[in-house]
Amino acid sequence: MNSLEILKKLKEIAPERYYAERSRAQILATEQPRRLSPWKIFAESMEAGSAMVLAGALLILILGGFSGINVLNIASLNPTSLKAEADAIDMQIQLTDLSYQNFTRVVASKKESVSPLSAFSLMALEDNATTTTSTVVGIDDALRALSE
Amino acid sequence: MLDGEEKIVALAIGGDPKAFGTLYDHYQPQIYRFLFLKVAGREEAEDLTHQVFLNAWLGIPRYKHRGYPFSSWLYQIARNQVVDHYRARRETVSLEETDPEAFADKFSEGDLDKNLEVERVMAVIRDLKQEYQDVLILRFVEDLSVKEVASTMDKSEGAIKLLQHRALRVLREKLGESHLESSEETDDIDNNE
Repeated sequence: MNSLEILKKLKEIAPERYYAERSRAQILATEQPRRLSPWKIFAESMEAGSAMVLAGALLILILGGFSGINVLNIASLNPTSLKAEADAIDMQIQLTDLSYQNFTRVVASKKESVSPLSAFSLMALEDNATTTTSTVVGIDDALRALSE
Repeated sequence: MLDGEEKIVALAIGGDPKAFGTLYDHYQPQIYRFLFLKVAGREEAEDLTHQVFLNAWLGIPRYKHRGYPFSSWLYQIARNQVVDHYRARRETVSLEETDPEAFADKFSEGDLDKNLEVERVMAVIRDLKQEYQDVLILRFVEDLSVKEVASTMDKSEGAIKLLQHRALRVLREKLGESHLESSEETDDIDNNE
């Protein structure tokens, strides 16, 4: 038998059947790596985005106590009542300033005209007025105090 | 070549395990044989064959059909696998290292002299250069055409014919066969292509 005949004879070599079956099953059970085409990348990012949006919406619903979409309609945050309250505060401040300015102007003019005896009572009144800056003093009250 | 191979390969590229299973069933024996004749023992050949088909399964989405049989691609993977195998082991296989029991049962029906002769040829093949081994196995064991071998080894058909001629000459020299017989047979093979 020459070398070429022997080489032909080598074709009889074959793997064991059990090995072949086991190897085949293992290979086919292996997961192939995923191919990422531009379209797949876009679809996956959209999936992630929509999941985040849904999670955010769920979080808002939970924090809002399941009060539906009217999350911002809380009674204490009514813009009309807030505006009225703010206007009222401004008015009080303005009136207080006005009263105080009128009172000091009247006191100054009376100081010039009254006698030294009554000046003491005026000074006492002035001191009292300055120490109680937080109390609101009207014009009528000031005139009444001066007349006394 | 497998019947309807292009269609089966296309399905396998799409990740169809059944299609790849068909390719495995058809090509696994010849890839195993190719590796068995190049490495020392049955276990190594089994491990390498498994690795070749695993790599093929993982890499098949990138496979491009260029008009050659699917086996050309598998042989290329197998050749690279053998190179990696020997690079990792950093040793050459000597005649003493071959495993006689690995192939003795395959030829148990023949007489003892024939078996010894086959073992001797296998040992000599393993002692040849990688290119000579490849061309001898692919051309004379697997009966691939010069064109198929050229595509597998990424060489021109002329280069394969030259390699085949040299490989046969070296094989016969090592086996102690006559040069005259060798050159006549090689010429016949080339003329038949």
